[in-house]
Amino acid sequence: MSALDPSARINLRRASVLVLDRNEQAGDVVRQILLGFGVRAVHVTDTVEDARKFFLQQTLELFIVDPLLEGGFEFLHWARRENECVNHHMPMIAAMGHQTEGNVRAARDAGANFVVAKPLSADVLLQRIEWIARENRQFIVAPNYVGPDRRFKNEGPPAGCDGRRADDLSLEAPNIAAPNMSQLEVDELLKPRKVAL
Amino acid sequence: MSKVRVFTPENRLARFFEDPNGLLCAHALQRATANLSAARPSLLAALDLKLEALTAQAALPLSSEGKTLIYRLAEDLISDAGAVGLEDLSRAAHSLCDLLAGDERGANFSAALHVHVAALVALRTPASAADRPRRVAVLAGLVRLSQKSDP
Repeated sequence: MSALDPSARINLRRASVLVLDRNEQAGDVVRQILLGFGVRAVHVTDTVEDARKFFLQQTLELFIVDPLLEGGFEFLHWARRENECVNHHMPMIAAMGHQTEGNVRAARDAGANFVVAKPLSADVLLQRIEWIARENRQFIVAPNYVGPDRRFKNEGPPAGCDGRRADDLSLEAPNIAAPNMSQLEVDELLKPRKVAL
Repeated sequence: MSKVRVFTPENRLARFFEDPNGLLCAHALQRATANLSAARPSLLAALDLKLEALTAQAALPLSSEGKTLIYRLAEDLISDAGAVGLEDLSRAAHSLCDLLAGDERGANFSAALHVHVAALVALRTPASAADRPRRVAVLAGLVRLSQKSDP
């Protein structure tokens, strides 16, 4: 993942962020970091019930949740399926202290865009927010999963099968339509040149 | 075959980036760090209270509820200690979470738990802060314990 460009600019003054964390101090850490980033509307809550009310009533740009609180994974799962609410596509970051493989998988499968490990640092959180803001990940609505596309790598269909989608490419190389290009021809194709006017 | 819908929703977060009137990211990070520094005394006070509570709970006969409470407190310490720059304490708390989430049937589980608690308390002392080699050795020992609490 690329490092943050310190000369990039952000203007999060009008962003509204919901933070759900059982740990009051962890919620405060996220609040202080977000206030530093210029976010004015940081709503921190430690109960799923409060978060649910906020989620349904406010237009939010980002949701940061520690899913290890009681009902946390279920809340993520519910939030992704709440079709009538404007927030169900919004970026959701799962921040957890004990990030076992099972916990990470559960957060991903509940629909989190990203999982970050606590302790949270300002640097990492801003990187992830920027990454989510710039990414153009597709959203999947399937019977067993609702959330951002979980595939970060596209390695094609599994070995030995042709794939199920119309746009899956065949493993067979196509017939050669023209002789190989020489390195010079490749360079000519890629090398930027000044245009003589 | 089940029906799957794939689309690209509006990303409302995107409009807040690349605003020429916005904060430089470097400046935003400085402000966030300054805010965290200002919150440090209250975070430290809360951390010490949680460490006390964890120690008291670990001294009681271990029940299922007690184990859950210790796990929650250790999970809090991962975050709280890291936020105030006590990374080794945070790692020790992580090791305790690993221990509690693992198989506790081993005869060594109870001993491993108490070693973790003693280590957390020791890592919080000012003397420990100055002794980097000892902290590294303690953490390595904790990780070995949490990965292998079975006899």
